[in-house]
Amino acid sequence: MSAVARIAMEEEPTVLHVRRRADFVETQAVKDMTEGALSYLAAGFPVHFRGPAGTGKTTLALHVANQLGQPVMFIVGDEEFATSDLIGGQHGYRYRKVIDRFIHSVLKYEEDAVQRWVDQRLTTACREGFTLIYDEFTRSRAEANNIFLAILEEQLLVLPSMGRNDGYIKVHPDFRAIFTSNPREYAGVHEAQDALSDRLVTFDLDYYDRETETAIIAARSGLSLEDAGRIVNVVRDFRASGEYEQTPTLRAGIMIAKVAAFRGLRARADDARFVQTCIDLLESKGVFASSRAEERRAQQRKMLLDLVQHHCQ
Amino acid sequence: MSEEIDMSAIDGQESEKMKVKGMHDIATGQNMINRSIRATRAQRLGQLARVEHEKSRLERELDKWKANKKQSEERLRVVQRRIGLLKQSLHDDPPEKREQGHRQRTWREVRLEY
Repeated sequence: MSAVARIAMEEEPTVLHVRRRADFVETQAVKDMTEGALSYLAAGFPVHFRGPAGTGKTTLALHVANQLGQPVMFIVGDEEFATSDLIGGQHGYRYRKVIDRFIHSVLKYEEDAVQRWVDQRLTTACREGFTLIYDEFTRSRAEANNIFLAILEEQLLVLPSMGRNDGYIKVHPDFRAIFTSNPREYAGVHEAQDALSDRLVTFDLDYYDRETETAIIAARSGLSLEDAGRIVNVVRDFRASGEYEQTPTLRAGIMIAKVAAFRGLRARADDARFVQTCIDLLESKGVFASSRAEERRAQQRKMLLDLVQHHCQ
Repeated sequence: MSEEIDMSAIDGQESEKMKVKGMHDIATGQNMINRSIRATRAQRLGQLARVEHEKSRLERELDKWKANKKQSEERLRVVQRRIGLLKQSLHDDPPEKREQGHRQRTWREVRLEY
């Protein structure tokens, strides 16, 4: 990146302006959750949405952030994160050269080079009072998230002291933080520090009720509520069976519905293309590595076909 | 018959030799006549009239300067009062607002629909 681009990056941060889609489904369950989260945020506490994949944690975080009306900074947790990836660091140099010939017979010449500090998103959010969404924060190692302890409790951002004049930054009073994470047992997830968890108000999310899932699938795909309901029933029953390695979530239902809508299919068991779509997107939730994979796959396929036959008459 | 008058009592300084600072100070016949106190009464009356005219002009000029000075002092008092009020209001601002004044940043937006 050129020096000019870096300076531009420093001078003008990029923020998210979040907006709800026209077909965003806001059932009573979503409203209640949103209101609860907003009340804690208004009181100055950060909130944490925790739940399995496909339960709408990130969407809910964006929806809550939208209600706050502030620009949004979005960070995604990463195993490779260090503190500097969150707060910033020294990048490059700023050169200054002054040649003064105001009096033609006198030459004044100054030249110096200083290291440039570049803020990362967390620092920008703390300075400017933005809303920070830290998605999947437990994907980052616990020590990288240490910086949040002082931010959330003492309202102080502590920067590395490399000769900086502003090593301590008072967090803007409008700064708000929303965290999301998967439960601890998920692969690739670190255990959150007790000290950090203690500072958060945690909402445990579960899969939505049938009506909400139906409304979401219908809105996202354009299918009728009737067809969307059939797909939801197939997915929910598959989930309830426990016969999978990856949990079939709302996403699977949205994918089936979108493909069906794209191909002009109805959710009918007598439509072979629709049935094949369901098999393609749900059968992959199983495992194929073990010696019993072929047998299990056959069983799973039979179960899926039975489900489609049952719900999509 | 010209009157002889002892001019030293009237203006002793002018009767001294003038110090030469430039070309204008070199004594010439014309200079000597112009700088001297006129010997005749008529000449002295004429010079007196001119000098009194100059005096009244200078007094008018002085009055104008005094009026301008008074006006400038009044405006200075108004400005100083304004400075005092602004400093007081800045001092009374809460710390967060003080920091905001230094940061009128702009940012680029990326729109995201959820």
